[in-house]
Order: sequence, then C-alpha cells, then structure tokens
Amino acid sequence: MSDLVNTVTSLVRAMAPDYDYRWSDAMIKQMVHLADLEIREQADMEWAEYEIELDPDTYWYNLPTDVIEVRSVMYSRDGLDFEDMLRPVTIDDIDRCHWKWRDDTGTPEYYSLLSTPGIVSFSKILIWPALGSVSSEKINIHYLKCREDVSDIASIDVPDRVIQNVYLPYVLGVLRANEDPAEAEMYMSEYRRGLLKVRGQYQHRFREV
Amino acid sequence: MNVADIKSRFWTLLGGSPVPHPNITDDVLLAWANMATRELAEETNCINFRYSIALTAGTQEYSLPSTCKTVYRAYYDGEKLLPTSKWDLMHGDDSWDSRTGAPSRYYLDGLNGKVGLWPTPAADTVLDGPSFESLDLELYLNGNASTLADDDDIPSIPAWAHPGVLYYMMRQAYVMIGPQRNVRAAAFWGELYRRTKLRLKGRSTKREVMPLTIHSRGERPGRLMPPRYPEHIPDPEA
Repeated sequence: MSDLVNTVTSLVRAMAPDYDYRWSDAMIKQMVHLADLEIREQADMEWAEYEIELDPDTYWYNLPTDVIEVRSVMYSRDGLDFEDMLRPVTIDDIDRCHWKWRDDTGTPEYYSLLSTPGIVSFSKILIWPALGSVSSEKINIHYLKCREDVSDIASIDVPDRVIQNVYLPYVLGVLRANEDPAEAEMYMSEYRRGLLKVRGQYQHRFREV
Repeated sequence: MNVADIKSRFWTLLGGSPVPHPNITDDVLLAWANMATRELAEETNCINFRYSIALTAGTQEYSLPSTCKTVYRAYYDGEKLLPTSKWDLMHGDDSWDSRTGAPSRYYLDGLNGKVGLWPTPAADTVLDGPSFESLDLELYLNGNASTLADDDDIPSIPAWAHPGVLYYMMRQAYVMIGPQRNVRAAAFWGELYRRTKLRLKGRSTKREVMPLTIHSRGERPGRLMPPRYPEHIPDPEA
C-alpha cells in the first residue's frame, strides 16, 4: 500500500522527467482525482455505511451525495443492532401490494430509490411502511462510495498494483491527450486492461446479478 | 465538483488560462457545462422527483414545473391514477370535460406543460398549514437537469459522473474553430465523455431493482394487458 497522490506524482515525474515545468503537483493531483472518481465506480473499490434516524410518518429520506450504488439497507429498532434487512422493491410493486400505501404505517420492510443515487437534492430512498411513532429506530445504508472532492483523496493508501495498473495509465492518458492523442489512447487502452485485473481483486466472484 | 472546480480542471488540461484562448469565455464554458449536464440527464433518465399540487374544485388542468420532462406516476389523495390521453377521453365520453368527482385518471398536455385530471376534481385540496392534509395530487416526474448559473452550482448528475461534464467541455474546445482546434484530441475527449454517459445510463436504468412480481407474456409492449386488479376496489367498510 502506498500513498495514492504522492506515488502517482512520482511515477508520472519518472515517466516524463522534462515536464516538471508544465505539470505541477496540483495539476497531477486534479488528474488523480478524475481517475479516482472513475476507478471507484468501475472497480467497486470502497464500501461505506450511512445511518439515518427515522421520523414518524415519513417514508422519503435524502441519500448522501457520495453514493454510487446502494448495496443493502438494514433496519434497527433500538438504533444499535441492525438485524433486519429491508427488501428492495420498485414503487410499482408497492402499488400492487397496497392501493393506498402512502397511508400505511408499521415496521419498515422494503426500500426503493428515487433518481440515480448521488445527485444533489434529487436522490432519495423510500422506506415502507413508514413508522407511525418513533423511539430510536434507524436504518443503515451499505453503499459503494466515491470521493467527491479533490481534498478527499489526500493521504489515502491504495495497493501498489492498483496504482500501477489503473491510476498511472489514466493520469498519463489525460495529461498527454492534448499533445499526442494517439499516445493518450494507448494509455487509456492500458488503463482498461488494468481495470479488468483490478476488478477481479475488488469484486466478489459470486456477486449477485 | 462544482462549476468552479470543473472550470479549473478545464484550464489545467487545455493549457494555461483564458488569455491564450480569448474566444473561450466564462459564458461559453457555462454554456458547454449546461449542454453536457442537460444531455447526460436527458439521455440517461437519471433524475426523478416528486411534485405535489394543491387542487382547486372545478379546475381540470394544472401546470407542471419547468424542469419536468414527463410524468410517470400520479396519485390523488394517495390513490394511484391511471394514465390516459385526451383523445381517449374524448372518444369515450362526449361530455368528458364536464364530469366532476374524485379523479381516477390523468393525461398530459406536453405542448402546454400541463397535467389534466379526469373527472375534474369536485373538492379543493385540504391544507394543514403549509402542507397538504388530503385530496392533493402527487406526481412522480422524470426531470431535466437544473441550469448551472454560478461557480458554486453543482451539476445535477451523480458526483462520480461529474468528469463527464469536463470531458464534454474539452471536446467542444477542440472542435471549436480557433488556434486550439485539434480534431484528434476532440475525438479522445469525446470518447471519454461517451463512456461516462454509457456508464451513467447503465446505473440509471438499473436503479429500480427487479420487481418481485412475475410478468406474463401478455404484458409485453404492443399487446393488450389484462388488468391485474379491477380499476377500483370499493372499501367494504365505506
């Protein structure tokens, strides 16, 4: 494991020793962030959890904006032990279950999503049925996470083979695109091949379809 | 990433600052960012939202918000409304527009940005302070992206897809007539943009997980769909 930004910066400098005057450290860091946004989405690299306290008679809640994909949602009656898994459904399913589902209250059993996760102010999660009254009930969302801001990738460690196979070719690709698009495309091909290897490391072999 | 972050990366990649590229102004960059966000949102259907309308007795049609692309689900007082069209209503009933009662169907007037209810609501929405108590219309809409106007604005697409906006802007810069024109570089950035769009499309269309119900062959588009339930199930206790 090595520090992501420092390692990529030194490897890029080693590949292009005469380019110090053109590619500043800040510029390379921005390109590492572009690579990071894409790689985390493509390789399922980082999973995170997010807790939401439930409110009475409320069935829509905001999702955090660093979500790429919601993997599972757990429910806790006491806010401590998340023992019950909510089942994913479509709103069509709920319509079929109950003609006036918006008025139903009870113990949450299902969840659904509105908008693609990760869109500011649009992405929401539906918890159904809504709770009629609340003491300390919570849900815990297990999700695939991205790092939204360039400051979020400071001081993070990533396996060396991941840096070598995907981060480095991606960064070199975007840095070289303006001068030599053919060379940049070669780097991107290398990145895509590397992504297949990295995916194998992060994704579970028996991942549900 | 907000607009300022995207612009900063754009100038980093294009080289230097606006000085060597006098034709690429801030307004041009903002226009490109809006074009990219609009295209990504429109082609991937990534934006859905809810919108509630307070109804007025005797008023059949209501305005939709400007960001609405289409309506895909509607509820009146918590009950699902069935979609129909003005054409079907006209052919089914000569005096369709004078019927009043509890609405059971909705239709769209896309040209005028309105949604219509049939029958026309006979009662006003009951308000509880600023929120709706009952008899309201709740719509689920497929939306367009919000317009980016300031450096602080964030594109209405998932955070992981924000580089797609940058790639689109880079492509535009390289196809623009001027000293920076470079068609091969434009093709490179265009390909990165296209791949981001495809991935966003994939994530947007699978966001609603597999329905629990098993659909029959008769439900395929183009064939008549046998109703699963009667259109209205009367409440036995009413």
